[in-house]
Amino acid sequence: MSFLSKLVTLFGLVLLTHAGYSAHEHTVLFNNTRLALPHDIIVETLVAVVIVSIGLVLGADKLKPISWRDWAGQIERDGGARNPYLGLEERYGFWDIRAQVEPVLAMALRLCSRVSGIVVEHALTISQAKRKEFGDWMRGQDLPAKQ
Amino acid sequence: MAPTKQELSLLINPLVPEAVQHNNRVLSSLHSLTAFLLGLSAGILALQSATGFAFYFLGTVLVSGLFHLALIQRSSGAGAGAFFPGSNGGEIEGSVAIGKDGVVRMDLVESSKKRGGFVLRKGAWRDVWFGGGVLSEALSGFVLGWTGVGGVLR
Repeated sequence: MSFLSKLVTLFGLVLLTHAGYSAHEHTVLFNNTRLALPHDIIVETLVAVVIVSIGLVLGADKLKPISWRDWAGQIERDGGARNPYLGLEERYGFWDIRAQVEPVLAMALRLCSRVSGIVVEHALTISQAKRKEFGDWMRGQDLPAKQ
Repeated sequence: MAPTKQELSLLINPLVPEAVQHNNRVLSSLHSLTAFLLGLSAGILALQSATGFAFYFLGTVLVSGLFHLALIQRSSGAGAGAFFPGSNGGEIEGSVAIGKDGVVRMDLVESSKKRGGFVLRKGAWRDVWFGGGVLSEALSGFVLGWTGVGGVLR
């Protein structure tokens, strides 16, 4: 509702209230319902009705075009933000999953190989040490026999 | 059975139900508001029986006329046909038929080509003038205001 239509409606309602109050006072004063209302109250009421009607009509919501093509054309002209099918019209194509995943995968592999390299190296050192120990022990057993 | 003109109209020029609903709601809320207002003024004027109902119908005609004028003015002259589906369920003005090659073609009337290229629906003015609950909800609102104010003032 625009400011103008609000103002017009408000003015009409004030007129209508005034007319109603005048009619009330008139009946209280003369205490006779058969006595016709003064003309100015009648005219005021009718004018108020016309003014409020104009205000309400001006303040009514904007109508939307009902034909599909007019409606769709209006949406396109507005930039398509209100398009209910926007989610379908602009969506991702099929992903090349390898192109998306390959860098990640390569990094993971590198990481894995580094970690496993360290582990293997460690295991090798341990096993070398163990082997040496075992060899020494064996040799230690053999030595007295040789002597 | 050959499809009717209404079916062909809806086939090549579908309606947007949401927009139809919105327009009907705007019209009926306008009529309810103004009917209550007319009821208030009928009460102030101390109208009785048939005079009151005549006042209601005159007032409704006034409101519908104003609404129609505003509608024509805002839509650059397209009129009610672009905003209400009309009494024939969305049949368009102009000709629509299946050609010999099986293709449905429509030919808009000259006046609708001039009026901003809107597709106009037949008999839509009836929706503006008789629609919006003029004889049901709005009438009961009118009687409410009429009796209420009449009782308070006298």
